[in-house]
Amino acid sequence: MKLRSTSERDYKEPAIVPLVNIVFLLLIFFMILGRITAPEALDVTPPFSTGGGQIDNQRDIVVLISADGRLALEDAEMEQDLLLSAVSKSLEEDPSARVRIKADSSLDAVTLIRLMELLKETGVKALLLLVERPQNE
Amino acid sequence: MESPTYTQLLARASNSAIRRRRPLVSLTPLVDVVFILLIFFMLASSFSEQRAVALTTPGTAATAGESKAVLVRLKRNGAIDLNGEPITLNQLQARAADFIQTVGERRFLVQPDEGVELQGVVAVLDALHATGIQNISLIRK
Repeated sequence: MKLRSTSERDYKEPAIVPLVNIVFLLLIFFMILGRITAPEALDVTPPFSTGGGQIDNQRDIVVLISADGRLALEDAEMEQDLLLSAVSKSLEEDPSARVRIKADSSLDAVTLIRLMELLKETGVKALLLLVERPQNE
Repeated sequence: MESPTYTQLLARASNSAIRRRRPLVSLTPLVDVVFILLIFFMLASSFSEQRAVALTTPGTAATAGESKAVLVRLKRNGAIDLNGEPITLNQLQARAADFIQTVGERRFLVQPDEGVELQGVVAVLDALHATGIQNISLIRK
């Protein structure tokens, strides 16, 4: 009777330590290699590119534009006129500020060029396009 | 049923201690927390490496010097032409390099048609950047 209950208990509790070891390794892997980013206002998949330079630490104005042409500044979605006036306001504070455009890869390129022209008219000196490095290189 | 004596209990306890070697601190709460941390990092982290490409556009006003520039047009069906000559994306890099060697450094204008996806334009920009061309502008009709 007693013997049976012990063997039952042993069966229900398999060795947990190897599992914990692997979970710890996975945790460390994700902590070190992953980069934690805040969720963005729009769902944007940047285009793949083999070129492009590292993003430096300079504080840029981030403009998002989704595949259907909706716009967002930093983390708030807004209309084009509002966005342009907000950009010109932050340019008054820092005239050398760059605008980093995060555009969707399936966006109509002409829409992007139109936005670039509008930003340039607002007084933006430098424009950057955010791209993503292909994973399998 | 008779209750076990003290010695019997002691023997049973030491017996099970040898057999199972239970840790003083239970592992289960730790595992729970580690699992939650793991799920958090798996969902919150991204592995993509983001970079930036400098973009320029002459704007609506500037037209000066455009006669000397090289025009790369992108058609909606994916065709590319370099100064009116049809070309593939693979040829573009070599042809652009030739162009620079024979005619000298020029300004390149990339003009996508309405409906061309950004990915195609970025591919052309990559090919031109790889040739060493720095002066690239995006224009529209």
